[in-house]
Amino acid sequence: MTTAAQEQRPGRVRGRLPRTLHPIAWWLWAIGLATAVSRTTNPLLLALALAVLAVVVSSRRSEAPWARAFKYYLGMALVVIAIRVVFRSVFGGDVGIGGMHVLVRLPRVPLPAWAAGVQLGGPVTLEGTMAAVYDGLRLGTLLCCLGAANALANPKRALRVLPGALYELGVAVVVSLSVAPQLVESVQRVRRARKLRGGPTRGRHALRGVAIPVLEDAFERSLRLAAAMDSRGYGRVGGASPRSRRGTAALLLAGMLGLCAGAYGLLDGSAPGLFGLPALAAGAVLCGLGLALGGRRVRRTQYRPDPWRLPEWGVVVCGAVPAVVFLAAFGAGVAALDPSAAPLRWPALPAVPALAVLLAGLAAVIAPPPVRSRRPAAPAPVEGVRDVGRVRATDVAA
Amino acid sequence: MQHPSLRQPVLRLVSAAATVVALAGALSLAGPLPGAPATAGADPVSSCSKTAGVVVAVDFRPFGGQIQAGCDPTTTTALDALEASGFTPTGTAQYGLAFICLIDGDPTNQSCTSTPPATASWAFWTADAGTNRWTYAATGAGTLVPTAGSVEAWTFGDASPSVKPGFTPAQVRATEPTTTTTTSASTPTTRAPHGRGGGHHAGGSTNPGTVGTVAGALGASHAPTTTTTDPGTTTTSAPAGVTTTVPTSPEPQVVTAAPTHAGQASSGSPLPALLALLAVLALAGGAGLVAWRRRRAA
Amino acid sequence: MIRFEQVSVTYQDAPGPVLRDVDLTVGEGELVLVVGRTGSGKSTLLGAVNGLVPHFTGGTLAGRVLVDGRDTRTHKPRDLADVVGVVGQDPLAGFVTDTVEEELAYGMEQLAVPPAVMRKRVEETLDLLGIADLRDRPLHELSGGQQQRVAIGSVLTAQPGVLVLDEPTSALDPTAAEEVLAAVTRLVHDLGVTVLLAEHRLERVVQYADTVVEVRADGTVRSGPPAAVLATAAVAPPVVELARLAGWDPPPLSVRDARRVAGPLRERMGDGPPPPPARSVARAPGATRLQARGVTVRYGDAVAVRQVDLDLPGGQVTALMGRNGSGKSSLLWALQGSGPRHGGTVSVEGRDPAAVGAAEARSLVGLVPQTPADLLYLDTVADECEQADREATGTAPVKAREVLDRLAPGIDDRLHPRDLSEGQRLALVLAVQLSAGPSVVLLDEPTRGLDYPAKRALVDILDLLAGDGRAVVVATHDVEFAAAAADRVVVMAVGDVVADGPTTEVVTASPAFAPQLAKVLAPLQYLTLDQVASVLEGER
Repeated sequence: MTTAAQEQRPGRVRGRLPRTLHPIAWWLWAIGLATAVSRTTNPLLLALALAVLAVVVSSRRSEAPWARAFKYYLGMALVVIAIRVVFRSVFGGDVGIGGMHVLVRLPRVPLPAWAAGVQLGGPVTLEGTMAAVYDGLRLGTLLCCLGAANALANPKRALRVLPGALYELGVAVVVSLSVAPQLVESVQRVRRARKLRGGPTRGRHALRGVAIPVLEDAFERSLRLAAAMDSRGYGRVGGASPRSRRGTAALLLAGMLGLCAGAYGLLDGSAPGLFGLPALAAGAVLCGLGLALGGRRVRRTQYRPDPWRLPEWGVVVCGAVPAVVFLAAFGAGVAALDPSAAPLRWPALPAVPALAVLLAGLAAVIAPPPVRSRRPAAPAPVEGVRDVGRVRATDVAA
Repeated sequence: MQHPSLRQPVLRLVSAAATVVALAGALSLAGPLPGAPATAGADPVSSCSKTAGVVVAVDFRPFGGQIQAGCDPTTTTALDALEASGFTPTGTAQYGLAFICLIDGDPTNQSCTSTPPATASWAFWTADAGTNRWTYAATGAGTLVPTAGSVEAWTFGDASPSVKPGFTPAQVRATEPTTTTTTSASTPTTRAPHGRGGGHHAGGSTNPGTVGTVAGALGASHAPTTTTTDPGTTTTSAPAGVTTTVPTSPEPQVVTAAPTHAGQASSGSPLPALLALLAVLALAGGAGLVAWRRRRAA
Repeated sequence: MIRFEQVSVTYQDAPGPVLRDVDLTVGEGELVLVVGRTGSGKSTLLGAVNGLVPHFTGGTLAGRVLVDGRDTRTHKPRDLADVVGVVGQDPLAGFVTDTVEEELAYGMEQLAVPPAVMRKRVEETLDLLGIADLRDRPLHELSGGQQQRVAIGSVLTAQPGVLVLDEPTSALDPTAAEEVLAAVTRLVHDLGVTVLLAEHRLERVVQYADTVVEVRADGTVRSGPPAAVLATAAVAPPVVELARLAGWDPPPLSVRDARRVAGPLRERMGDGPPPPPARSVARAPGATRLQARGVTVRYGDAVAVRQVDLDLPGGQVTALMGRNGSGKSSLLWALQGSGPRHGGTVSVEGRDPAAVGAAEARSLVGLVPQTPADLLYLDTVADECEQADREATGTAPVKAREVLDRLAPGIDDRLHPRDLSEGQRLALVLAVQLSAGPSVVLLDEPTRGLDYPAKRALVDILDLLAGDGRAVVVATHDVEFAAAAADRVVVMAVGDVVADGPTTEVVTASPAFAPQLAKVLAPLQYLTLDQVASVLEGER
């Protein structure tokens, strides 16, 4: 009796309802983790970050086809590391003394006197290669943070929450995001057609034959899209006067300049004091004013906006904690966060930053499970192969 | 099994975190083992002459030191010469010795994880044999092969070609071997081997055994008498080619033993790396399991 | 609702105006059909309704266009979005979001409709157009007809008074076209939406139209009741052409109306078998050019072509019919050798096109794909012909320029291929492929976007090819075209061949998908107008 009653208590939902997390929450989480990653070149911490990203993506990504692209970002990270190693080996200018372990000696290519500062070839040291690997690994992990954000959150939905004055910009970015898969499909179609003409489909000679139809196709498609969007009301200002529009534009422009100057001043320590924080603050204020002014007249509603609830806050905190820990370098000295490649040492694993990275992985648990669609996604491989499996009476009668 | 995606990664994450915390906490306390310092045998300046070897002078005056000179009779690369002269360069974490960050540990507050800013780094000057003008080196010390009898200088500060060193090549050039031991009253200082902030010793104590001076190279026009009268900072009247406003007269000396703090450390313990590898594999395995399960359910 | 007052439109660098002194009034709730030859200004007329001409396309508009009291000279297209909804030929090119539901809501978001109203309208539109079970599907996974309906729904949620459709069914198979047209007529009759519709395949839609507007070659426009306008229009559906031939006045517009008056005509035709269709070049089936056994094509788990056997004799034109997704394209590509083939054998002149290289395969089997412009990449027609001559490596290559002159005479050498009309571009690509001298020619959906005269020209081209002794296969939806051009029809469904026989037999077997003439004159099996004409001539 008691067990049955306990099992069938009404009103209690067992487990959690699947829903899509607000895309901004995932992006903030990814940006926090990316900030943390950008402060270290410790390969152990970076590898932990990559593993955490993999766990969160595999457990919380949505069912859409673009959500499966994370593995390509991992591949891109490997390419980045390889490029860095090659550049360091060829142009690095390492010297084989002072305790450096030389792996191979590339022949040094002598350059004319005006290029005396550049070095081609020379010894390739283990320390140099490891330094390139550390640096490349950091960049690759940054890319994977971006890729994770893309896989977890539909960037198009994230752009929809932009303030009114930036909405058009957001939609333009959204539309441009869909150019890449269309280009891929276009290139496949045109290469198939090139085979019909007997011409080469790869290599330099095929470039013109493939590029021109693809570009013309993309151009026509973009014109058609622009006409369609224009006809559907994209770009309605809803009665804002030209003067207020000019004012908005001026404020936004000045604000952007201020933000740029402020960012430059923060990054370059030798800039005059006017740059840096004062310019950043002024730019932010101007931008805010511009957005407020621009959004005042724009009226636009949102269909089924994503809610912002406790799991969203939890996920954002999971991303903010590593950022704070790494920015302030809690519990880890410079040597731990930036292990030296010369002389080469085994990198240390500082406890507090490692725990902070693992904390970011808790987002996989805090976020609600993704929505599973009711039917399996059936990819349509090539034009003309759709509706396979539906037999109609008309076919049989014909 | 309802919501399997909720339980498995939690367990995996918690177990991985626990192992990492437990072992990392215990083992990361053990830092890298100290290593034995390396000694750099230095050749005294006397081994070099106007036509053989290369003399390297490093200006430690911004750090409260003096100009020190050393010699490398076998000219290979300028970096080799720097090391063989008894100085210990430290490179950056990213590029190693391809970018000199510290020499003998100076400047002490410099972080060598990335290349220092242009306003506070070591600049490298050369002067060929027979010339008395510094030229800003066009290539790095690791690739430059100095000609026999040339002189090199390292100065710290604004590393631009317009700020020349405060002394001339002639002042640091090697003398003929025979005049090495001339010690006159104009050699007031003895330097401790530790090239840092040693200050000046007033007076005329000399250590002829270990210290060689090149005061003789300055020539009579240098008016050495002026140096004896000032125990502390001395200002010389302008010798040939030097417009010095620096407080002390240049007194290059040879460093006989390298300082210890830039010694070779050991390579550290691989245990944290193994730990991290275990954690990464555990997490990646969890990710793969979840992905496989999703594909099966789809 | 819509008023054109002395409207003339001239594009930049054009020799003359595209539309000249157009005076037109469209009342509320009317279904207006815009007809005219390709390039005659139909699209310009439709674009002028919502302001795309001249705000988006450029050009000069003289006169005034009023839509629901708003002047398009002062209102940009985005300002008219709540009054006019525009749907184009390619719905996928106009989609902004990822899923059906979001696409339906997008227009309303731009118009600041309150969220509660938005949700209600989305649900209503899903039901109205019959796409309720597609609501969370990604747009690129839908079929053509479904996409077209979603596009209509996406402009419909803004509740415009006018709906403008520019060739909505040209890319659709007959069933999908029927669904879309049924939805449109329902909108007109149930909701009172004013619809302007431009179509090439008039036979589908002319019976529903309240007004027909003909855009003539000189840019002037004639509007009036359908029967009156189509009786003397340059383009007309087969039923109207039959009416002209038989002297029915006013011409019937639908099969039902035509059958009511066709009794005497049927008696005049007599019971004898219909004469064979007239061919510009005589032909007879010869030796087998292509032999295919057990051809199989699969994409992952989906089987597109399932063990198809096919023999193609020379001198015969075969129509390959079936809906989208039945495997027609996959079969053609597999026969040519450039597409994947996972089983079976294909033999042309003793060789397998897939086994030899691409250059040799095109001298055995030539294929013109669905978008022929994919093959063109040079700047002038002359360059393309020269390049084709260089690429031709067959045993008996022919100069591409000569072939082009035979197929479509009068194309200037200096024109850019993209500036040619659809039919001329198709002829150019066909000439390029024929310069390699293949004995088998395959065409994939060549009739898309062609009007009746262009289709007749294409029929003549196919007669030429078959007259040379080649085996020709045309994949098409267009039953009228297949009836006119083909000797033999092969019907495919879900990868299998469902029917294979002479045109008359196969095409008249299904009462719903027979050509209009066959439906009107049933049970007599007349397919084309020239058959009827020759019988009427003969009895005279």
